[in-house]
Amino acid sequence: MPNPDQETLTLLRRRDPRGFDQAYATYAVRLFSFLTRLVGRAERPLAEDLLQQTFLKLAEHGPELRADSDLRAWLYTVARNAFLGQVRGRHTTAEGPSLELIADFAPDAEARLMVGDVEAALLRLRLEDRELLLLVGAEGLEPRAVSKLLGLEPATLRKRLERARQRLLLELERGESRPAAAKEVSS
Amino acid sequence: MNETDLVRRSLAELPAVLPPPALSAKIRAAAQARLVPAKVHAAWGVAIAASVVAYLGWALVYTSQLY
Repeated sequence: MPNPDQETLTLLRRRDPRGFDQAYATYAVRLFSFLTRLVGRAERPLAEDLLQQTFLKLAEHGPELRADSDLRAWLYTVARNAFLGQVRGRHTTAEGPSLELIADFAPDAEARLMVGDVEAALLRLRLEDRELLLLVGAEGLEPRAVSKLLGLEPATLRKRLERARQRLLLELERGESRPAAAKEVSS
Repeated sequence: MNETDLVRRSLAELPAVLPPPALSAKIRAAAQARLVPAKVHAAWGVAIAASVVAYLGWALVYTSQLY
């Protein structure tokens, strides 16, 4: 299968800024979505900082990448490492997203409640489960790429993914039994 | 739809979160500076070459005066 980022990588290897622009246009929104949900919306400035670190690493090391590199996996690995580096020894919030942010996020009340529910449930999960669900479920990365990224055997990844889905489901169900919060979001 | 499908769908349907335009502009500018190194003005090259020649000349004269 041809590398979808071949042209981007070729330009980056020539230090051509158009390569960076292509990479940014393709992956910035996805990475920012991933990082924002990984750290929680209340920590949005941290997600912004991590996005910046990730893309500056690309500008620095992009010219050294091989022509057949998996740019997407490389970017997620850098973003994840930047996140782990930042939060090591630092307290990150385990609180759900702020209601104002959810309200800005999606126009209709029902969608707002759904998005808020899923994101809040994700934030209540352990970091390992959260990043796994975000990488595979929300970002659509191939399980093979994720197992390489996280350093897990494919069979282990499958088991962990299944457990993480169950835990998320459990958290969603628990969330449903918190009517006060739900009412606040939908009002 | 079973429960696992529901979880899968809810994750896949999470909307994108856009980075602020000001941040994107800042990142692009910083990346450009890293990718394209600033060109050194030709005068700096001439100045460095001249200082090397001057130093070698001085060293030659100084050494020749020792004997």
